[in-house]
Amino acid sequence: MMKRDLRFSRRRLLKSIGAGAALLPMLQADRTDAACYVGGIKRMYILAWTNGMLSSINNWATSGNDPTSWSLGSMNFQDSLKPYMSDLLLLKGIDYKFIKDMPGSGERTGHACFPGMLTGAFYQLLSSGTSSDLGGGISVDQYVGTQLQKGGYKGLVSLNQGTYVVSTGHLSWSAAGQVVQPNPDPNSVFNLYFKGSLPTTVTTGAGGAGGASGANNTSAIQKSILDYVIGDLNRFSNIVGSEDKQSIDQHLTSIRAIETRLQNTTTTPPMAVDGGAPVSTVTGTPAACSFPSTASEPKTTLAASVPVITKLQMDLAVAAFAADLTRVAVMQISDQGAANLIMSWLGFTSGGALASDPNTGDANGFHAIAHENTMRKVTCDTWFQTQIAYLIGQMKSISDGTGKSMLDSSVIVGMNSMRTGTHETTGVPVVMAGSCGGYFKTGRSLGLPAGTPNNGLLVALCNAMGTPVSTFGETSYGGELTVLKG
Amino acid sequence: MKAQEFRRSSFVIAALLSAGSVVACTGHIGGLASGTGGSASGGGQTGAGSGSGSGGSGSGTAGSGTADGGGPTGSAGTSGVAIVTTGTPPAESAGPLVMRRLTYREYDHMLADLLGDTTAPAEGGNAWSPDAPNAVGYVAPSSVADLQVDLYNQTADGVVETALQAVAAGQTAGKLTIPCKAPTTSAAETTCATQFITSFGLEAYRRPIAAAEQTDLLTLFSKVRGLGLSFNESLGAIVKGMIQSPNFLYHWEIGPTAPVVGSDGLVPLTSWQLASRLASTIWETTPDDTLLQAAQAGQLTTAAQVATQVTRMLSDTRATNGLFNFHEQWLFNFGSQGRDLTQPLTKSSPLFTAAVAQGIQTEFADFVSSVYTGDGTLQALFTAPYTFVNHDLGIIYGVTGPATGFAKVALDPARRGGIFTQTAFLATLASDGADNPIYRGLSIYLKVLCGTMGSPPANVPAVTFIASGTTRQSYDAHGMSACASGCHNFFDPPGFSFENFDGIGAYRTTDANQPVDATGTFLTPGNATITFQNALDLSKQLAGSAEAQTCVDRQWTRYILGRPETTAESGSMSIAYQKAAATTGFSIRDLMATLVQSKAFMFRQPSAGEAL
Repeated sequence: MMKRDLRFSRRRLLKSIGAGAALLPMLQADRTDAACYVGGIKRMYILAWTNGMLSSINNWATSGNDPTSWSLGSMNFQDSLKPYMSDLLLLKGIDYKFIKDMPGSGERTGHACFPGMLTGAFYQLLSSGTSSDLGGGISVDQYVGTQLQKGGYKGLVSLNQGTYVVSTGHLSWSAAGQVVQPNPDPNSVFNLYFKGSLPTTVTTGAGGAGGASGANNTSAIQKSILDYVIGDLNRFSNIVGSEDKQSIDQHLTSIRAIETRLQNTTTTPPMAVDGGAPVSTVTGTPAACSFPSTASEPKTTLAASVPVITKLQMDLAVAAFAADLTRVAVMQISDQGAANLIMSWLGFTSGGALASDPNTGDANGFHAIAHENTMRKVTCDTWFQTQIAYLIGQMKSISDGTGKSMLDSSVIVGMNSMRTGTHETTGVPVVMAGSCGGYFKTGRSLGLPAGTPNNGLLVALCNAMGTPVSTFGETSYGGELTVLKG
Repeated sequence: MKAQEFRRSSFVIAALLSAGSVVACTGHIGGLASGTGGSASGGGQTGAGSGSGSGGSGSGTAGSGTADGGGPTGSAGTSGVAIVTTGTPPAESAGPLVMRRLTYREYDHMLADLLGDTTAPAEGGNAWSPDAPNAVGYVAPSSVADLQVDLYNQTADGVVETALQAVAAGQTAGKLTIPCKAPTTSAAETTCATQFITSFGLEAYRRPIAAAEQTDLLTLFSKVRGLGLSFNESLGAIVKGMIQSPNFLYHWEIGPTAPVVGSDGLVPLTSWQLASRLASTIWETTPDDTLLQAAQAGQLTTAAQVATQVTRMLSDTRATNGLFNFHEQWLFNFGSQGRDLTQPLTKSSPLFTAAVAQGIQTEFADFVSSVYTGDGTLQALFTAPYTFVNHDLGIIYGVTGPATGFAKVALDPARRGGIFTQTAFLATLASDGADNPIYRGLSIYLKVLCGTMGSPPANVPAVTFIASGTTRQSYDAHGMSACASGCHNFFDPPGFSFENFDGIGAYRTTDANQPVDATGTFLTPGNATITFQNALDLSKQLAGSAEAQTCVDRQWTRYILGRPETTAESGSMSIAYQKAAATTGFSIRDLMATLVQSKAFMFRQPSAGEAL
């Protein structure tokens, strides 16, 4: 064997685009097999980032319930959304009440909101830094996805993606303390969730003494392997102490999730969940109904890769929606601080460590720019709105030819962990798009009363998705934000 | 290493959170020792961490006497767990055994050993996010997220397919050998598969396969064979199952026999369990044949038997893995302020080439290995005037490095000696552009002296760099500010001892055209005063300090056990300390070897709820 010293391997840094290029033929082969489902399926896409959606000098107007007399944000920062005004529902804004009210020591600024943004629950601050903070309850993506599965849906609970997630403040939780990690790598997303889930023939591996078999029942083979692993996990779980048993049982749950995916790969057309007409199966716009090529994937660990990775991740999510591989997706762009996110594609170049505080990242990093909270920040804000616009455009482009698009039965939620670049956790703006099958009344820009907790939004999302709840997270924060329904 | 990447980024967050307006200083030091019994010994420092420090609770279990062994029963400590440095040690016992998942490094090393896979899928994979370090700064992953399980699943497919292809091409693929040639009957296949399960299972599970496991694996074999896989592919499916099993992925090492609780209430680890734990601790991988044979023969039940293996293992090149990992986490992982040796911040200096950035890892590993294969003392680690350089590193040191590869070079003993004066330490614990006394000082205070310190308060002011001032002047002005001084007085001074070294570790006598001042004095966590002339002087004093010596005892214990020390380990740590102290210069090799043959390592408490 050629043994190489692995001590200091850092291929994570050195990883090139080679793996992406290798995927290309397979991706193209999959195209013809991918079914494209449009109408009647409710889907939820949450996009989150930090440092505020606004700065001190840009804003958008609210107009109560009047859908006609409002305009998008000042300084042109929302111009990319102009084509979609009738699909939008803008909120100003929600309060992250949990961050102020929850017990325990720690910071109370917007950077610390990630673990509660989607749970609405008090979370557990641990002493070893924000990285180890533990969410206090299930997050809305996981709740909705799990409930959909309980109702018979066969796809993923949710597709959790990220780009340039350098730090580890987490958004998504399958239960209190149980994190759902975002996958930062489009190639990995493809390999994990698409490859085995497509109605395509996969040849298994090398031959050998018994001769090449070319078995094409990969799922059954995988299931046999996982059955063994499950048996081993059960034996293991019965032997270890009760605290360790919890970890092993979580492992078991994760293995079962893989097995569930495998069982559901036989692609029977999905059922509509909104009580509407049966799902249309159309070929749609060919480009939108096929799986994107990740061949051009650059290094996922580079800030400069963020635009490309973001696009690839969004393309994959839309493709996953189209194939009904998932009905819930969460995408996180950068982390809780984005301190070293140098948005080079916007013309920013590294300015070295921030002179006033070398420990808060680059002088031209997104965080430093956010603290300026003026023109340079607006440039960044504009880019983020463009990402929402891109996603809306993609989901609208998939239509069944009768005027109904994927967006119509879906909801997109653009969220931030603070209001502007200076950490406010009240009046935090939200950009929603899509009526979720008529549940939300779009074409509005709402001003919400001060003290409207994010929980009301989370309740509304659950209810819109057909997985009803009366409260979400901290129960004392009340129920649904019904004004969203119009 | 991913853990370090993780903590460095979390530091950024901690700093971000503090970037608010400066109002007042709200932070506290996490519990300064109040000392007990009129001596510096056993001052418990139990605060730390939360930023709201609780003040010294002095919960140490100090004996009388002095920390430096001057009394008949000296003890010193910072964690509240006493180490008796002279005189009769407490009775040995053992604490709970931590069940933990393989670290990414272990996982990669094991796949390399078992299947010949050298791609380091976990360390090298974009989608594998780093595991968090535990409360005492060592990565010991416990619970698992869906994504990781998905990745284990995906990786198992990939590495096994590749290994099968290698075998089919007549190449070696780790321990993956097919024990028979193309069996032609079903019965012959089953016989061969059984053989394979026994032989490969021993390697993958680090113990003999149990009967129930073998039955299930044979079932798996026949199922996938029936689904159309070839014979070899079916064996591959067995391997895929094994390397996704908890018996491979977790350190708990159940069986093959049921645990037996002794009259002292403790459970002895079996020879198999010890073999696995030793291999993990010292080599960061799976046991080799010699260890497995010793376990098979039941020859890992006495301290002497373990000692024999440890000596052998330390002389093996694989020991570099474990030694690197321990020392790297020990010196660089101090919570949210820690730095990553494998990912030094970018440097403006043209001398800090890619070869240097990579090379400091090898420098660090080779140096710590050379200490443990050399005289094995703390004194050597902290003061020996040599290092290992490649060509570009040599330029920073002002010595001639080899044209290719690494070479051991002597360093000017008037300027450098020991690990703290090497580029690996100095350039890692630095800011982007320049040296950073805070990081360097924190490593000394928190990690070498086992001090504790709360998180920086939200509104501590940032360092303001004085135009044409020295690094020290800027950091001094910051550290002396009313808000910062409460903490910085403790760790800034040891950091200033390194002022003779710039941000890439090059030696200097002037900074900003002014003479370097590397002198200082500070109060240690144990309330001793250390006054030094420079880093060489400080290093020398630390090497001889009982406080540093007891601290390295604690650190090795934390690494080996994967958790904070408890009073149950007090006896074993005391014995290890005294064994180490019996050698001039304090033998950290003996310290480590003693710990892994101690009751604290070879026994465990039953876990709550464990099936016994």
